[in-house]
Formats: sequence, structure tokens, C-alpha cells
Amino acid sequence: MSLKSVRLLAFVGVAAMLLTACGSSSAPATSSGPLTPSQTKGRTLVIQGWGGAWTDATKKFAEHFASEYGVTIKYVSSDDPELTLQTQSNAGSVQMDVVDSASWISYKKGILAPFPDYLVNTIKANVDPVCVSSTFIGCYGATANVIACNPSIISKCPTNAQQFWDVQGYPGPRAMDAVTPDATLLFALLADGVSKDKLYPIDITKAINKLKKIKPKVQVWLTSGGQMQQVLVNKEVGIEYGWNGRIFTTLQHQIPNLQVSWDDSVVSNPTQGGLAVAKGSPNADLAFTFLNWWVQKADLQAEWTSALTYPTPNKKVNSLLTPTVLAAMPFAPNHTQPVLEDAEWTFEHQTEEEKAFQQFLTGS
Amino acid sequence: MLIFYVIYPFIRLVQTALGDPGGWNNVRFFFSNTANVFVVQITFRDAAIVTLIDVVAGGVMAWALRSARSRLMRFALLSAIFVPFWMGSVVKIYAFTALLGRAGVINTLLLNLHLTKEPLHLLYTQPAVVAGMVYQMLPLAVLPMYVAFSSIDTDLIIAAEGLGASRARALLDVVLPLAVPGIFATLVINFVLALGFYLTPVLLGGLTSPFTATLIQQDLFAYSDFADASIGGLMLLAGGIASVTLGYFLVGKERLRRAISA
Repeated sequence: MSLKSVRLLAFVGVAAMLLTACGSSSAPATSSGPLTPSQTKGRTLVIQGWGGAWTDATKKFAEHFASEYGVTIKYVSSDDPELTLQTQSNAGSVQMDVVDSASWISYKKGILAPFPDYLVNTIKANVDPVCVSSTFIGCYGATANVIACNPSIISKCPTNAQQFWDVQGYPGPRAMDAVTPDATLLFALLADGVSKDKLYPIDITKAINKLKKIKPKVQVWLTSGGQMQQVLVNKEVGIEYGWNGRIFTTLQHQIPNLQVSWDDSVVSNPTQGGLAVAKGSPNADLAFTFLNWWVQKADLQAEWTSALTYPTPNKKVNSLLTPTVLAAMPFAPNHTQPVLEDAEWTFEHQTEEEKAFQQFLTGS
Repeated sequence: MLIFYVIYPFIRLVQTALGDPGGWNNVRFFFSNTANVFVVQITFRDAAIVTLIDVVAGGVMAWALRSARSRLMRFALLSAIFVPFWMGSVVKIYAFTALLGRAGVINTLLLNLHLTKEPLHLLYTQPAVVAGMVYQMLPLAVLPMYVAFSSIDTDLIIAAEGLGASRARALLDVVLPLAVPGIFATLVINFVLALGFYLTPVLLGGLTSPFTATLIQQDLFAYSDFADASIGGLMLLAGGIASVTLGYFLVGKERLRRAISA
């Protein structure tokens, strides 16, 4: 054989070996009970999260599991863990175990692993019935979109949608959530005077037309939770319609006089998503054990909620929270109740909504 | 090797573009989305603008490098070209974010000099993307042109001046015609590179000033629409092939290859 063909053969051989080595090996899921620390010792768990402050809070939580069970945890972040899961499922190569967090859309697309019976029983024993599901632990991470305003650079702060749109009366650069279009479209409808009970089904054209009016004054269309904090801190914008948890973190650590308004706020439905396990994950049994451990830890959940002001499901959590944190959470009684998003509608109209939003953003 | 790395992926790309879910209808679906059409147009237009600016600015720098006599001058010019070239792209783009932000260097300067009352909206606009790309691609424009210019004998200018031409006239009538093949080659290469830019449009342009590469990313990771992404990729590939073919005809294969190897 000539040297050239030997090289080609060697290359192909190495490539073939690498490809097979990279294939995922699926461990059998035990449906009888959670794994014990002696069984989990030395294994790795991949948690896919939202990054930034969210992942930091999850790390603090999950490291207790890591030390107790002798597991190494890898934290992978993306702007939207659910989209990453969808892409990986479509490609047939799921590389995450715990989806932190997933929504109704993943559930409808069937890319979440169904829980074994022992896990469902543990969940039922620890959370409200409305938070129980067979594929995700609900009442977790419900995120609201609120209006934040930095009085250091804004003379008059808007407190509701109509004021947000009034660029003459309330001047200043704005930023709006563009990670998923739902909240922004609903906000536009509220600014247009649509009453809260008539928001669904969403009239996409009407919302886009209203958004077109404010587009010149929107400095940044936000693509991630981290960016929501960043643009407020580096004074790129003074008014933002973003996620309450990230805004709370900014208020706590960086801009103490940040004004937050809950009027015309919108929140994801707590029963339509939560902590889940990816279908086809290489360590499903370990992931179920993690969830089983997690749902019982009221104190650690309270710590997580205190950092982010997103709810966690354990029944005992609310009694462990301080009044400041309770007041900053989506369903606190002291501020206007946010409008509930409907993930079922989003699932039905996802493509239509996203294409319209994309065309609006690119100005075409 | 060629089959493995070029032809097979290309075949798979075309297969994906014309596969699920609609076969040839995918192409019609791609073009029915006005965002796609608009962004592809913007990509080609902005890539052309960036290439032109880069070739003009790069040409001046390349000639300065070529005709520099003092070692200090050569060293300064070489550093100016190569040090940014060796820095990572992401670092350079974030430097631009710091320059162009509302509270960034340019706005602070303009406000303090009382040239504007309000900070300008510079970041996340098309001019920001063009500026960032010009900066990123300048070294890539200077190098091929430097190679072209270094084959031009500087004695020719002395001869022209000896015959009565001014410096400007000498450069225009003697040097430029000799440099045209090199300039064309640089134009072609830079245009093809600019078409495929991803990081700069994403970080400096955001969602409102995307390039085709941004759309491809959205199609792949947000919408899981592989067919749309593939067609976007094929658009860019077509643009690239068209430019290189044009370059071959205008400039000749040998000069193009020499310019690329610079």
C-alpha cells in the first residue's frame, strides 16, 4: 500500500473509533427507589441551567448533593435550556441530565423523561397537588416580567405599560425581553388597552403593530438573563421590561435604588413547567435520585428562592423566607398580581409567533 | 481529503436544505419569510461596504509599510497591523462594546465636549457592525495588498518623478495599474470572509441588525429548523463562489493564489 492510502486508512480508522466512543451510553433507570450514595459514588451529573445568577444559586444548592452522594456535577448554561434540549433531542444526542428548567413546550414535545413511581410519591408528599406532574416538578422558577427603572439616569419612571410607551412623558432608553416573545407581546397588548382577561388568544399582528411604535426608543432587545442585568448596570438603558429575579439581583447587589413596578406584569404559569429530566439522558437514574433528594430540601430551596425571588415547590419554603424576599416574589399580595401566561397557546402558535417577532426585529 | 471535507458535507447540506419537511418547498418557505430575504440583502450589502472601506484603508497602510524607510516606522506599522490580529476576536468586539455603549468612551467624549446633548445610540445598530467588522478585517486586507505592492519596484516612482510627475501622479498612473490585480484579489477574499461573519454581528448588532450567520444560528438553536439554516448557508456559499469565480476571471488564477497565500 502506498503511504498516501495508509494515511487515509489510519485517519478513517481513528475517526471511526472517536465517533463510536462519543456515543452516549444509557444506564438502566431504577424504578424501585432512589440510588444510594454507595451506588452513585464517582458518577457525573449534568445540570443544564439559565446561567448567571440562576446557575450560581443552583450550584450552592446542588453542591450539597454532590458531597453527600460523591457525585461530580457539571453545570452547563445557555440562554434557554429548553431550546438546547430541543436541539439535542432533534440531533439524537442528549447530553444533559437535569433540565433546569423546562416548560410546557418540552412536555408537549415529549422530550422529558417520565418520572419513576417513587419520585412521584416523594413529590406528592412534599408539594401542593397543583405542582405535581409526572414529567416535571412544577411551581419552580416561575418568572415574571416587570418594569425596572434606574432613577439615577431617568428623571420620570414609568410604572405601567402605557407609561412605558409614552416616550415623551417618560423619556429614556428602554430594553425589552426578546428571549421568548410571549411576555413582550402581552405587554404590548396591555399597553394598547386590551383588558387582562381578553389577552388570549394573542392577536399577534396587533401586538407587533404596537411594538413598532416603540421600537426606535428600545436601545437593546435582550437575548439572555445576564444581559438584563448587564445593560442596567453599565447604564446602556434606564428602563427595562425584564425578569423579576435578575432585576432583584441587580437591586440587591448593584443598583440599590432601582425602582420596580409590578403593574402590567406577566408571569409564566407555575404549573406549566419546572425541574425535569431530559429523555434519553445518559444518567437518568442519577437525575431522578437528585430530584428525589432536591424536592425534600425545604431549607436549601428557601436559600435558592432568597437569592432569586423565584418560587420553589416545597410546602415548607414560604415559612422560611424573609419579608423582603416574600414581597419581591411574583404572587406576593402587596403588589399587582401578574397576568398568567398560557404555555398551551404558545405551543400551538410557536412558529407563527417567532417568525412574526423575528420579522419585526429585523425591520422587514 | 477533498471528498471527505468539502464534497460530502456539501452534499449533506443540500440534502438537508431540500429534505424535511417540504423538499423544494423549503426554498419557497425560506424566501417567503421577509426577514430572511432582508437579512441576506443586508449581509451582502454590508459585506461589500466593509470590503471597500478595508481595501482603501488597508491599501494606504500597505503602501506605507512598503515604502517606509526608517525601521521605527516599519516596526510601528507592523505592530499596528499584527498585534490586533493576534488578539482574540471576542476581546476586540467587547472593546468595541465599551467604545460604543451609551456610557462608553465615544459618548462620554461627545457629551463632555458638548457636541451632543443626549448620548448617541451607537451600539446594536448596523453602523456598529460595519465599524466592528472593518476593524476585525483590516489586517486581512493589508497583508495581501502588501504582497502585491512589494512586487512593485519603488524605482519606478523615482523614474516617474524624474520625468516630471508629482508624487500623487506617479502613484496614480504608475503604481496603481500595477497593483490592480492584487487589489482585486484582496477585494474578493475580504468579501467572502465578510459574508460569513458571525461574532461581530451577534455581539455588536444584536437581534435588530443580524447577519445571515445570526439567522442561521437562530434557525439551528432556537427554531430547530435545519432546512432553513441550510438554505441560509447555501446562500452564503453561492455568494462566496460567485465572488471567487469573478475574481478568477478578472485577475487570473495565479495572482489570486499568490494573494491568498500571503
